[in-house]
Amino acid sequence: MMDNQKEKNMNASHKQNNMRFGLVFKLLIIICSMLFVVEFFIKKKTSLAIEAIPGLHASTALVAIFIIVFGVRILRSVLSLSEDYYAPGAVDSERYPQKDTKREVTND
Amino acid sequence: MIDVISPAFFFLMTSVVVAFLPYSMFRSALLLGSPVVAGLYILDIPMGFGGTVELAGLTLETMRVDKLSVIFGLIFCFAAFIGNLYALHVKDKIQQVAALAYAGSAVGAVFAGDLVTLFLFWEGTALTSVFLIWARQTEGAYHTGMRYLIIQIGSGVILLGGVVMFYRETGSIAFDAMTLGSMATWFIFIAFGIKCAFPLLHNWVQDAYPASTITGMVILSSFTTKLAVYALARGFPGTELLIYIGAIMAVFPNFYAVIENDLRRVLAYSLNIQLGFMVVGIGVGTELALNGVAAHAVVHILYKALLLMAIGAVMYRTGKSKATELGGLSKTMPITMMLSIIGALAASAFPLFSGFVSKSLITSGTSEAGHAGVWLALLFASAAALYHTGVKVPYAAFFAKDSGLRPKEAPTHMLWAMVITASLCVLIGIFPNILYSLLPFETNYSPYSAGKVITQLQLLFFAALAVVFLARKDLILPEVKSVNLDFDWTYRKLLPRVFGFFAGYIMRIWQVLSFIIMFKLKRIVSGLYSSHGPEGRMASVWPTGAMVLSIAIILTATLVVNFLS
Repeated sequence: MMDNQKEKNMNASHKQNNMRFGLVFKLLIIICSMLFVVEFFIKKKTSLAIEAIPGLHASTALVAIFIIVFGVRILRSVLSLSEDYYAPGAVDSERYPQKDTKREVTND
Repeated sequence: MIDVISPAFFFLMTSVVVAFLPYSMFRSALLLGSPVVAGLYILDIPMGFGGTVELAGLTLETMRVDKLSVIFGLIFCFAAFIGNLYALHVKDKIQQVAALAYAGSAVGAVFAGDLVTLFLFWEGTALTSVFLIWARQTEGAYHTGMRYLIIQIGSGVILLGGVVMFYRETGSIAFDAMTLGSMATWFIFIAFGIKCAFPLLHNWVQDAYPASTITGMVILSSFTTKLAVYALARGFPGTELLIYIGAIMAVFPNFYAVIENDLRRVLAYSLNIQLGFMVVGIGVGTELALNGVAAHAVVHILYKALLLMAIGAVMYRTGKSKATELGGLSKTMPITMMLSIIGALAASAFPLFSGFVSKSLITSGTSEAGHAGVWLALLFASAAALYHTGVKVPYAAFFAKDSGLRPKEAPTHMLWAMVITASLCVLIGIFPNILYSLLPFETNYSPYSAGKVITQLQLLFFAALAVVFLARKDLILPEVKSVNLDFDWTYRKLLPRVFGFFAGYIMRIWQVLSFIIMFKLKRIVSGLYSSHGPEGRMASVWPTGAMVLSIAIILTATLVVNFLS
């Protein structure tokens, strides 16, 4: 019973997060549009020819994130192994020792 | 010539005293006081060389005070203070002594006026820091510590080899700018490169740092790699090769930082990326770029420590540091969450935060030097840093799907350490001249021009937009429990297997050879026994004659050999 309640609360919180995500996305679109437009009205001091290209930083950022996200999809299939792959010579599959922590919880 | 002692002395002496003190307020006061005293002492030392010591016929200069060594010395003292404040609850004497001696060795190394003094403190950092890993007291930590120690000592041995060859070539042990070319300078360069986590030499950072204790990683992240940055800035400024090495360091680990599940290891990869920025700056070698290196070393120590302290606080309360096991902690750890966001904003180089004022120096230095490709690579790395350090780390711990964990807020001393560090991240961001006045070269650089601010904001907000867009489309892979293959696989799995394979063959060959040799020897011995033994023919028939004959043969052989030679 308690577990069901807890799961319901967690799902509700996840839905709330998704709504916030949507709001953040809309806000980001507005901010990005403004920043893109503003660049045409400011004077930039540049050393390289490519620095003068309008929207270069914006497009580099978009390309970088897309490369990383899609690159990671490929790399994960090649590089990821189970946590105990290096065990017992590594800490990945170990629990952190209790003695070094003070695992206190709140009452709510 | 100045008559001074090295500030390392304060740390090393205190570590000896702490080793014999029981856990008390006095011990805590010493732990916090020694970095403060050392920092004040550094501010008061006149510029120049000094602290001369005679060792094995060599004149060592333990103190070279200039603006480059002072800025590194000061930030090391501050990092030691913050690290000790954060670790105030720790009663383990070994960790406290190791942390002080480690900080002292790093401070001693940045003031070293010659290569031998540098080597001694260089090895000091290796020997003392490993205890912060072993203090975890698990089998995994023991093995990881051994790997770490081998690599660190290896770096020292290569440095020593380089120093000896350099002395033979030039007759000098002065630690000044060098040019790559001779075997000696290559050895020294590689030794620095190992500690600076050059590509393919980098895995000790991601292997060892997350295996240390909670407080240990905060301390570890501040010294070794930044000492290597200092050594490269001192020894190899303007070495073009470093520009390309740095660019690879700044770009490639981004993929690993995104895949990684352990948030402390994400930050270790992020550390590697920021080292890349510094290495590029050293390679460019202009005054602007070298100012950027020093500034970024300071700023990076601050914000990386802040992020590690925040994740460390989560770990202290939950025992967990993996993205798959965390989430939703913002409800019960709001102060830690806020402080981690400040660290994330500084790491992402948002204007008004410290990362912006230091990264901007390096990127401007790179563009002014005309390295368009490398400059683009640094932009790429800046956008990626926003994703894994700016968004992923705080999101996974504090905002991701509720893990059900309800830990208490971090202890007061941890919060204080984080608040002080976060304040500096903001203060430097708003008033960059506080930092710029400490830089090695005079500068009137201002990061807050409209062009720089708008383009940086563009980079960051468009990167954020891309991340949110891809997340909404479910194109970002969820975190999974895993380890990821990196170059360390070669010495953790491949080399032991290769050695095992060859060792097996060598063992078999040895066994066959041993059998043959033993068989032959036995036959010779039994033959001799049958002729010369108590029952032998020689013994029964020619007891004296056999001996005389043997001596005659030996004498003849000696005469022949003597005659021929």
